[in-house]
Amino acid sequence: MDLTIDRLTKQFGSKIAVDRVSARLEPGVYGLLGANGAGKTTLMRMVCDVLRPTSGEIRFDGRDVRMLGDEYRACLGYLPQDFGYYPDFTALDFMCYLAALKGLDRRAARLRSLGLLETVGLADVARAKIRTFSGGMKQRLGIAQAVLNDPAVLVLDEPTAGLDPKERVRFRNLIASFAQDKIVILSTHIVSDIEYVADEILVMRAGSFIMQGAPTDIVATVTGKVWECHVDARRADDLATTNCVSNVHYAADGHAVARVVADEPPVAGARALDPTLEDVYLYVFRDEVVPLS
Amino acid sequence: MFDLVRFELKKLFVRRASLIACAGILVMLCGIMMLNIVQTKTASDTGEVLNGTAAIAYQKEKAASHEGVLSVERVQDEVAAYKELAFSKVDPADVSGLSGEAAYALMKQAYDEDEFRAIYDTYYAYLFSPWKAGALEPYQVAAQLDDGAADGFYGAIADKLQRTLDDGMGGTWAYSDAERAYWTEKQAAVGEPLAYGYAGGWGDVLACLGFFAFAMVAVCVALTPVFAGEYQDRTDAVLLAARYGRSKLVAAKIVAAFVFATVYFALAALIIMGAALAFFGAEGGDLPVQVLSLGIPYDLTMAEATWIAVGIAYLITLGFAALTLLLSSKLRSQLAIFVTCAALIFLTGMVPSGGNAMLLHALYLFPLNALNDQVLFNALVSYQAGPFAVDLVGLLVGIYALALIVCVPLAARAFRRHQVV
Repeated sequence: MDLTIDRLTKQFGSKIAVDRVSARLEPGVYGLLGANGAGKTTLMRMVCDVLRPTSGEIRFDGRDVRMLGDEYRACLGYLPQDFGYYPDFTALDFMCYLAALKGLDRRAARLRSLGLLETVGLADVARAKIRTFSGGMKQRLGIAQAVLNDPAVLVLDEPTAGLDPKERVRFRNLIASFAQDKIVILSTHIVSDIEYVADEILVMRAGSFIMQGAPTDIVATVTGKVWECHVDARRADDLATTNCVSNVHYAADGHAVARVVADEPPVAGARALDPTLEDVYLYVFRDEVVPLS
Repeated sequence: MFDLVRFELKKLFVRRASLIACAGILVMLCGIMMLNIVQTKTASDTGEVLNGTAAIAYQKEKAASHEGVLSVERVQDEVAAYKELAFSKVDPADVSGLSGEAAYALMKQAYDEDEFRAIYDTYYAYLFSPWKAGALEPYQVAAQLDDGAADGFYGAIADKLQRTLDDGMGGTWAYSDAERAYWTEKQAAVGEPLAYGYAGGWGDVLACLGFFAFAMVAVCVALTPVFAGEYQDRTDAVLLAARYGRSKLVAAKIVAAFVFATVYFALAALIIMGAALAFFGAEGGDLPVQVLSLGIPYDLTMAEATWIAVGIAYLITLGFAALTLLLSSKLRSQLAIFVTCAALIFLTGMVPSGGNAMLLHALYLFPLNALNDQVLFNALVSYQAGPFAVDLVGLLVGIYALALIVCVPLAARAFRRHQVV
């Protein structure tokens, strides 16, 4: 099983949102990383066949997904970024409705819906109206509906938005257990979500993939560029305006310890650190990241 | 598919705004129909003003006193008897040259109350209508009739049709030869002799046809979010990415929309027809529609005419449902969709034609103008299409069936091709 994205382009007027993107995805978890406006959501919408590309195509097992139609969508699970729901439906109704849309028969739909609501921790409120749910509960419901049909291709756009840390851990475990023999595309700018779960990371900027590889390979690209700097607290602010600072810890004695991503040691005595994916993100998107100060 | 239809119906029924609008309109229809009964008013033989069910009972009694087949012999006898009564104290020549008001004053002065009430019986206005030209009172028409004129009762009905066609809606509409031939043939097909009697229930349903416009608006309100609601609530992405999101779902939405429209229309019809037939009576359904007016050129019974009119109201409702679905599939703004449909239903009934017959003929195609017993069967509204003429009933059926046939596939296509941006 493979999903091939072949020179996919989407243009809105004069703005190119996705620019000749190509990739071949095989079973595994793919983390799509990029700043806001990088084109992640547009790309995912095209992968899910809810947005027509300007040019290029997406093939599932060698066949154009637009030609496959229902057959492709039968293998697809999708959690969009702005997940819409029906406030007057109960969670169970909503799941059963989407199960019917995904082609599950009534009995199977009910069993699967109840099982998934249990998995995402919504079993107790299965018969409560969605309008009474918190943002995190709605997001968990969205995740549950995405996997209703046990999809071969699962596309999750900002799935952890609104989830608390405990829920995010539960979500990562769910994805890990689900991902075997499936293609999971996961978009987020919460780097840690991808770092733990992705087999491969696709970094997107201005509509194109600028990096692609295993997390360790991606992280390795900033090896020797992450520094720990001990500076005066006032100096730390100056450092943040001229460098990519991922973290500053202010000590009680008036000193600060800053974690800086830079090609050269930003201050004398700076100590090289092991990089993380977050360092890569900050380094790659340093022009788009709001400085800490 | 059944499950999808069920869920789509559930979506329609759980939206609070549509639920309130739909229930509110049904309650309002109940109120209107009750007022229609309560406000029925008539004066009895003794001059007492009767209201509500008492007035209805009296109207039945009066109509029953004249019921029967309008054979030429009967018409001859009744015309002769009327002339004898009306001109026992007044010379026919004295009223024929007067205005309606002056003649009324003269007759009222000449006769006592019981006699005057008998002369003024609405049945005689009906009986003399084929000979009536302009705003004349029945005794003025009777004064102008020769002794043998009643022999040509049915001929007078045919002549009146020709005079109406010559008049061309007060000189604003020139009937083409095809249209004249159409109406002449249509009237020639009306069976003779006609029968007279009470068909108040059926007549009341026809008089209340316009109230179906409220049901149409309610259907439009409820169906506005069928597609647009998905765009607005951002559920479109999940739906369109699902297996049947672009196939069975579209069909389910359309089926659910029409099931809803049908059920709602049936409820409205139950209220309107139920109240009218229950209180005014269901008898007289087999009488010819000419009990309403001798000039009606349709060979239908009252029940047939009523069911045809209600059927047309249903078809118009479905046509507006289809239009709402099309707009809903194209627009995100539910308010814009509702305003468009409400304007087409209500505002077109308020646009003055200013004596422009072309505009009037266009306005007749909209519900408030079309769903009127005086227009639908009685106003000789016809349109020419090439060498053919078609009446309002036929064109309404054609246009709203076309709206269904065109709008529904276009709505389905628009949703299938919808792009989530």
